[in-house]
This record gives sequence, structure tokens and C-alpha cells, in this order.
Amino acid sequence: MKIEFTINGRNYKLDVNGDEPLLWLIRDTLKLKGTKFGCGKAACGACTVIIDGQATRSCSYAARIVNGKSITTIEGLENESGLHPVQQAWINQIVPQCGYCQSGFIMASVALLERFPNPTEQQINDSLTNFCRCGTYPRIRKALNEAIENMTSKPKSAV
Amino acid sequence: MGSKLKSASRRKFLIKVTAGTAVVLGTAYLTRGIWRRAIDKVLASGELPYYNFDGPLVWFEANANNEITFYSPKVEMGQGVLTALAQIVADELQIKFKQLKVLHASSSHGPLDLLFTGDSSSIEGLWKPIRELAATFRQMFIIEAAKEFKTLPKKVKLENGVFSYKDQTTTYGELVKITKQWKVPSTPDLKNPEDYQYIGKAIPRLDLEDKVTGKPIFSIDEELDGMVYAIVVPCPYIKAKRTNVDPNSVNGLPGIVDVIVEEDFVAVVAESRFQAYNASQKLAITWEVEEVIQQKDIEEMVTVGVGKPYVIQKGKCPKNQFKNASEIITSEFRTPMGAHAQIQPSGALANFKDGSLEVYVATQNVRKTRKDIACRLNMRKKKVNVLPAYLGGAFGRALYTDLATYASFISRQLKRPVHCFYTRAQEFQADYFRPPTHHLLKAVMDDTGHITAFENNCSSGDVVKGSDVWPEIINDIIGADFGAWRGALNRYGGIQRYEIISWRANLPLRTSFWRGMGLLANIFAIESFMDELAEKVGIDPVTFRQNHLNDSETDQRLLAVLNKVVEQSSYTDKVENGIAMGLACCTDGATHVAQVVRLSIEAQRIIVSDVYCVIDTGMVINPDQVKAQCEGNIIMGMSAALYEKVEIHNNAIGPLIYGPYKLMALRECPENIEIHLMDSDRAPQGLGEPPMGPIAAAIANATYKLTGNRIRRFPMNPVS
Repeated sequence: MKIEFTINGRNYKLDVNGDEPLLWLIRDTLKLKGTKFGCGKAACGACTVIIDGQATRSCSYAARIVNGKSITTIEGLENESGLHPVQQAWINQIVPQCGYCQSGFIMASVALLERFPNPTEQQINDSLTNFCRCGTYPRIRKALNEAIENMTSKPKSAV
Repeated sequence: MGSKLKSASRRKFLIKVTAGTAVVLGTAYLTRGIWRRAIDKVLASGELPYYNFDGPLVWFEANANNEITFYSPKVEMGQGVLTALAQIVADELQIKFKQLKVLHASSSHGPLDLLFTGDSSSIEGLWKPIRELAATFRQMFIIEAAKEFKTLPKKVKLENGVFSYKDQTTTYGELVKITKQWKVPSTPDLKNPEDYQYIGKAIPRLDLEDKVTGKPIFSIDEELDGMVYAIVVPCPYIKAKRTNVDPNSVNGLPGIVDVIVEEDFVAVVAESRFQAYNASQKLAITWEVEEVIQQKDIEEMVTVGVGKPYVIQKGKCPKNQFKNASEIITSEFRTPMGAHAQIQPSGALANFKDGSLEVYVATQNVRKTRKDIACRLNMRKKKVNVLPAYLGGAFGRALYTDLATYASFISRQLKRPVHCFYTRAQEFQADYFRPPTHHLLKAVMDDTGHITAFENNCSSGDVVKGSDVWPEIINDIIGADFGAWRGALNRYGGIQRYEIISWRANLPLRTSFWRGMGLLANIFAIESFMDELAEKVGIDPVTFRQNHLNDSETDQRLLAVLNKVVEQSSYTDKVENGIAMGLACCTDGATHVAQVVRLSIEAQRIIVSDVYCVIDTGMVINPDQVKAQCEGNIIMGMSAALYEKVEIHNNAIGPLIYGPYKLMALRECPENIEIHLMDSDRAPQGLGEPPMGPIAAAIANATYKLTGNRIRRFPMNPVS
């Protein structure tokens, strides 16, 4: 089937098998390798992307429902002014160890903060349900708090 | 001055100059004799196999652009080894940190690790040789700079990569351009520790930016033109064999390239990963179970008294004390099989072309990966180039690279590059599990509350035995499985009469290296038992442990971390408001760790709020990453202790997905994990696993105070 969608602001028209998971379109067809395969069952979150503002596990998201949607992957977070504040906080707090799951955590965090700029602990725990086997959770928490602080304080200082 | 390179005469340096653009340095030797001596030492002392002998091969390359490349024989799997090695190298070369580039050595370029990446041995094992090599490389340039300056080498100053004498200066890059004939000095001085610029500093990891921007640095990200995707179908049962495959069952499915049926594997190959996966689901394979095995059968096999015993450590004979005792205190513990569950599944991209192979692979063991492929494909090792990628988690799993072998075979057959990774379910099925264990401990105590006789029996599936991960030579030498008994030795010098026995369980499935090997299970048993004994004689757990440490250096270091963690955590035996604290400690190799947890129980679940960890791991290269390793070990150990188990039902391995195989998530991570590093001027010791030792016992000891029930099994929390 033919589908049309945007990824990171770029428009794509593809002829696809409607059952194929979005993850493989992103990785193998469009060659954006930052989104990772972990489990294929939406259980680990390594493949998290943002679809129309919603953190979504792309391994279990069929191509047919991608039609008309706007997708952001880890490659789409940077802009002219540099890294996204969440990415920068991840660097400042030296979060990654092996790093394989971090794209998914960063995308889930970006989606969370777009929705709730000042999330409660409950909202954080309910949103960041991804798995990290290296055990970077304490630093993910610190980095998330730093990102929250930077993203919410900036507009104020501009006033 | 610093230490001298004593063994210069044994070294064979290799120097190559490439037409004024680069100079490289390496060494090439490591005799079987050195191996044997190292391993003998290990067995004689009962210490874990951490090697400090010279080797393996190490390479540097300096080019005319004033860049220096270090080809690391160790692979980056999250432990920060590339950054730590870069700090050591940059210090010894006395260059700007940014001047140094670190790359993984492939098997055809740069050093081939004769060991592997793991066993917490990278920094400890390379600490001496890498500084000596870097110092040698530096001295080669100092000699040339001196010629250039028309002075003596000892008059040349080197700072931040600039060589100077009076008003003359030059750089590594300039010297590469003008030098035709390099001389190798025999005994360069190593830098004095007080002059370290990078060692001991919390330098940010080199791979940070790549990892937060999603750069394609993992083997699963590799692509080549014309690549096809293979799915290898592992046997879903234990004690079973494949009796039939019907390749026609996938006829006509979209994208099918081939079905490969070999003695050792079956694979479906297709133009896309999705097509290969779909076809693998439809491929008709018949498996025949040879003997029905259930979980209870596995537990019976892993039981002290069953299988072959090896006495692995013996103090003064405890037999009479046991015979004449009015009371022998005994205690039993069990741990289940655990999965690695690293987030990147195993796999590789292989490309056979013109009689040679290139294999991009997640491996902790480049040497073995190359050997396995060369053997299976009957190729010369030289024709197989293994290119290790960053590992998406490993924890021991990537010591085995079966899929690299199969992908290579398929690539040669199809004459196309082959990308081959497991699905998550297959990753569980094809895992080499942490072995299940059973522990039986016995002690006799005197009126003063001192242990007068101690016996520790541990039964385990194989870790090292039956594995070809270690160089072949080790199989001639080892008796008991030192991976299985890791952590089981008596490390309390105050206990004089003791016997430690390792029982080898013969299991019908693959068990092997999992972070820390036997450490998690054995320390869980011993340190839980210590609390039980302390309670029995009415002495608090801290004093009881202190009473069993003697004046030896190693005991005094353990005592110091124990005392420090008590102070840091304000440890108390009192239970207040449903909150209790628990403590445990261990010596692993020559690393000492003590941990305290604070926890409560809600709805029958243990909730750990705080973990305090004090570690003496010798000199610290990067304090931030030492802390990261402690955090990671604590969380992985907690996850295994609280939630994880793999079981066998009707020969099937399960569970096969995260969720049912539960890992700790963010919401369960303790709010507060505090790490304290002891100051030390000892050489760096093992770090990547030792902090996993005490955590399970600390949790069990705290839980006992709340419930009065002694935890004797993992997982400690109910499986939902």
C-alpha cells in the first residue's frame, strides 16, 4: 500500500507492506539508525519515537497507520541552535553507559516534557517505562530534572 | 623516578613508518609460559583470575596531522573502558586529551586481545603494559626531538603534546614528518602519579555525544549494499533435536532469498528483516524432545551432594570442631537461572568477498569470534577480519557469537552481505544463562561468638568449564570451575578452620558467564549466613563481621570499607516506622565493597529507597565512571535478586519477553544511591563486577528485620 508521512520535517511517500512495523521502515528503508530494536513487542521502549506528540513504540506500530502522521526520531531533535535540552542534560549528567536504550529514553522524555513541562513523579514513572540493563536510571532522573529546570526557566529569564 | 620497564629484553617492538605520514608501534608476543605462570598463581592463591602480566599486543599510531590513534584491544560495552584507557595513554604520552583518538582494534589491524573484554580485568590487566608502551612511544619522539634540538633527550621537555628545549619547539606530528629511522628506547621512565593530568579526573565519556544523538555505532546499525537479512531459528527446547525442516513451507512468501539448512543451524534469508521474520514464523521445523525436563529436575541436578565436588579452599581442618560441636548451624540458599537480557540482541553483519570475510559484530572476544568463524568455514584466520562494534549491553553474553559464524557461512553461500540478529524470544532461547545455584553453609561457634569451624558448599551449573571462551591452555590447568565458585571463598581472615567445596552440576542446557559469574549468588549466601550467625550469638552484624577480620592487609581494607559504609549510612539495627537497614560486604579479587540498603515492604514487595556503597578498587582512573559502574552493578544485582528468573517447563525455556522476564524499571530504582570511593595508591583493581557482590544479601538482611523470615531464594519479590 502507498503511505505518506513526515519524519523529522521531511515528507516521504512509500509503497509498503501495511503490516510492516514502522521501526523497520525508519531503520532499514529510511536508514535512520538512531531508533533501536530491542524486543519487537513494545516491552522495552528502545524503539520509542514521537508520533504527533505522543511517545510511541515503533516496533509495534504498523506502517498502515503511519499514513498522514508526523514522526520525530532521535535524529530530528537537534536544530540550528544545537542539541535538544534533553540531549544536553543527558551529556551533562553523563547518563549513557552502553547507550543502546538511550535514544528511546530521550524520546520518551522529550514527549513527556512537551506534554507536562513540570511532570509529577508519577507522570515520570508512568512515562519512562523503558528498560536500561546497564542501570543508568539514577542519572536519567538527574538529567530529566536538569532538563525540566532548563526548559522551564528559559522563557522566564527571557522576560 | 617512576618504575622502569624491567622486561625490555623480552619485548619485540614493531615499528612501521608510512612515507612520512604515520608511525605505528606495537608489540607481538605472549608465550604460553606466561599464561601458565599467571594461572598457576591464580590457583595457588585462590585469587580470581585477574592478570597483571605483560601483554596483549598494543598499538599506537601518530600521523603528520599531530593526531595520535590508540587501537584498543578492549571493547566498549558501556563500562567506559575506552575513556579510561584514553586517560592513561594521554597521560603517559603527555598530550592534549583531544589529540588522542581511540578506536576498537579489528582482528586485522591493531592488537588482538589474547584474553577478552570482561572479568573486570581490562584496566587492571592493561595498567602496567599500556603505560610502558605509551612511555616507550613517547620516548621515541623525545629521542627524535633531542636530535632536532641538538641536545640530549633528558633535556627535552614535553607538555600538552609540545616538545621544547630553550626556545625551540616541535610536536608529535612534526616529528612524524621528518623522522625516517626510529629508535626504540629500552627503559623509559613512567610518569610520576603526582604529575597525572588525566588519571583520577572525572573526564566525560568519549562516546557521550554519539550515544545521545543516535549515531550508528552498534553492529545492528551496520549496512552494506546488497545486504540481505537472515533469521536463524534456535531450538526452542532443551534436550531436543531437530528432526525435519521443510523449506517448501515458505515457498512463495514475499522476499524469500533462501532457506539454509545445516547440521548446526537453520536460517531463513529474505530481502527485508520483516520478510525474513515472517517466513521464519512459517517455516515448518520439527523438534523432537529426547527426555522430558522440568524445573524441578533442574533443581535436583543443582544440589549440594550431587555431581562432582572439588575442595577449592581449605584453612586449618574444621572436622574435629564439627564432630564435637554441641550445635552445628546450617543454612541453605538457592538462586535461579538468569538471562543476560541486554537490550541489543546478539548478531552480526558478515560480508564474504573475494575469498575474505569482514564481520561487524558485537563481541567481547574478537579472538574467539575469529577462530569460531575460521574453523566453521574452514578458512584461514588471516582471511577473517572481525570488526568489533560498540556493544549494546553484553554482561558476558557477547563472549559467544554464534550468529557471526552463521552469518558468515550464509554470506559465503549467497555471495551477499548478510545481516543476522536474533528476535527477543530467540535471544532468550539462545542465551547462555547465569547458572542456577544451591548453597549449603555450616558453622560452629564458641561461647564468645567466634566461628570456630566453617564449611561452604556451593553447587552450580558451569561457568568456565565446558566453555571455550578462555584460551585453550586454561583447560589443562583448572580444577574446579572458578567462575562458579567466584565469591564463595572464605575472605574473613579471622575464620581459621574452614573448608570450601564447589560441586559441579551437570545440566542439560547452556550456562556460562553472566556479570560477576558466581559472585552475586555466593555472596548472597555467605553474607546472609553471617547475619544469621550474628543473630544466633546476639552480636550486631557489624561487630560480628569486624570480629572475624584479622590484621592482614586485605582484611584491614575490607574492615575500612565496612566501617566507612556504617558511618556513611548511619547504619542501625533498629526498625523504625516500617523501615529497616541491611548490610553486607565482600572481597572480590583485590577489590573490597560494603553496601547498606534502607527498605520497606508494601503489598508484599520490597521497596529499596537507599543504597550506600563504599568501594576500595585501588587507584581510580575516572571517579565518575567508577561510580557509574557501582550504580549499574547495584541496579543489575537488585533486578536479578528481586525480579528475575528463567525456568524450564516441558523442556521449553521461559519467559521469552521482557515483562514476564522482569527487569527493574525507573519506578523501582532506589531514590538515593550514594557511592563512596576509598583513596588508594594501589594499582587499579577490578571494578566492573565486584560492586554486584553484597547487594542481594544486604536486601535479604534488611528484609529479615522487618518480616522475621529469612529470604532463601531469588526472586525475592512475587512474580506478577
